[in-house]
Amino acid sequence: MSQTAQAAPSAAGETTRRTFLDWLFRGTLLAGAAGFVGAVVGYLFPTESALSTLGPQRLKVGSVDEFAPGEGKLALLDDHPVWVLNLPTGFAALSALCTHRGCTLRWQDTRRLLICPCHEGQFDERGNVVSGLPRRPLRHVRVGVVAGEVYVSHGTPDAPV
Amino acid sequence: MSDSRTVSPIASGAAAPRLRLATRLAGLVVLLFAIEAVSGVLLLVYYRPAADAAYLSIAAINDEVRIGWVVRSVHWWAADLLIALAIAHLVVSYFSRAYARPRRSAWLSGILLFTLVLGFGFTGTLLPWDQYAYWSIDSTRQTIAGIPGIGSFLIYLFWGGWELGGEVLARFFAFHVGILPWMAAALLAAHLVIAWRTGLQERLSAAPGAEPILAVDFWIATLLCIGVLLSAALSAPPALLGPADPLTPLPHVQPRWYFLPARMLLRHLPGAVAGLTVLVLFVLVSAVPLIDGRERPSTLATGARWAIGLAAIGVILWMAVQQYVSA
Repeated sequence: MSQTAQAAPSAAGETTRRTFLDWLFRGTLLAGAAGFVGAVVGYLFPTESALSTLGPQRLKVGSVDEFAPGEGKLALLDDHPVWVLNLPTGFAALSALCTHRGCTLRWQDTRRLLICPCHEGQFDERGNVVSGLPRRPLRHVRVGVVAGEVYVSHGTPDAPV
Repeated sequence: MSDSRTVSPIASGAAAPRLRLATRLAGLVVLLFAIEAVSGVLLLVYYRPAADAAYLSIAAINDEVRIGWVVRSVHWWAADLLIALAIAHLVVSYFSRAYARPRRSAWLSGILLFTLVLGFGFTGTLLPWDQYAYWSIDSTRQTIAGIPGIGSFLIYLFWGGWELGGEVLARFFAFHVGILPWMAAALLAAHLVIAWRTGLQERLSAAPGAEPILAVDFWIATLLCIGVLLSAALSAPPALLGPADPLTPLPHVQPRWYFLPARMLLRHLPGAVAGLTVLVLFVLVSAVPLIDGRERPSTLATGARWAIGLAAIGVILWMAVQQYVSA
């Protein structure tokens, strides 16, 4: 096709109907090829869940919409209770067992404190002891959002909240 | 090329090669075969052929992978379109006597290719491992087992046992992606070489100066085919019923449309008779070039060809409709 176009009587730089159609044809092919390659690359690109560093052993806690600001949900990660908190800084997950005697803590979102029902031990939203008998802070649990769903998984988070 | 410098093949229709209808249909079948290969390899990236993972991997392709549902839908619809056009190619070739000398081997390789295509469809249907996949394939076991003599042998060979389970899935997967593609590619190459040597080359070179690739109507047919495929794939992606559950039969399950006539036979005939009928039909169709093999047919043979062909199409369509309305 290109040979025939060049053979057409046209001065250099002049756009004849044939050269125009030629470029239209080539442009369409090129756009189609680019779209195809883009689609294949998009298809092969890892999914959001594959890119997540949460690891394969993860527990879905609920969708992001189910968490009001400041709200917490209690999840059971391998029989170990975990508080998943929707904080202004993002989601955080803390072990829900008091480091004093192992009672399950309660989340009080008005004061943003985790309170032990047994001996009134109190932790802040970062897991640090605020008052009472416990001495050690709460263990952090890995938490992440994948495709609008909140997950917790084993292991300590990459960076402490 | 020397001629085309002055007259573009597109500009002058006279220079473009005149292709037979069967050849045009064959071109589209080859195109769809390539689309199936590409989309199939793409699906292979995420698909897991195990009873506990297959369904979830297909669900992930549908829901998580970017445009994964499009790739799956294209693979599904291109298969249906390929089978439909292969049937059309077969029918046109029959009525235009493309099986006669010197193309008898073209006919035979075509029949074998068609069998392979049905094999692709059959094995591919099971791979999503959803309820439809499970029960539509399970319902064919009796048909195959009913073929006298070799029925149970075929079941053992293709099922790897008697029950439909993970073993069968692994086997069907191996056939679908590891065995059938190579057989089909080799046969297709042979089929094309035969067609090229027995007329196609002559026909293309009969139009001096014409570049066959520039046959405008062929490009239009190609674009139309891709357009139909994409429209179908985007507007009607294949369903994914719940994961396969061997304890909960799916009521009134119909096979894929190209197996409707075979299923109708099974419903109304005992397994052995149905299997035997399919086998006899296969042998008869393969032997068409031997039955009517002369280069120039007599008037009687021409009449018989049309009568038998139309009657066969009518009966097959009637069987398919009977089966379709029965459920």
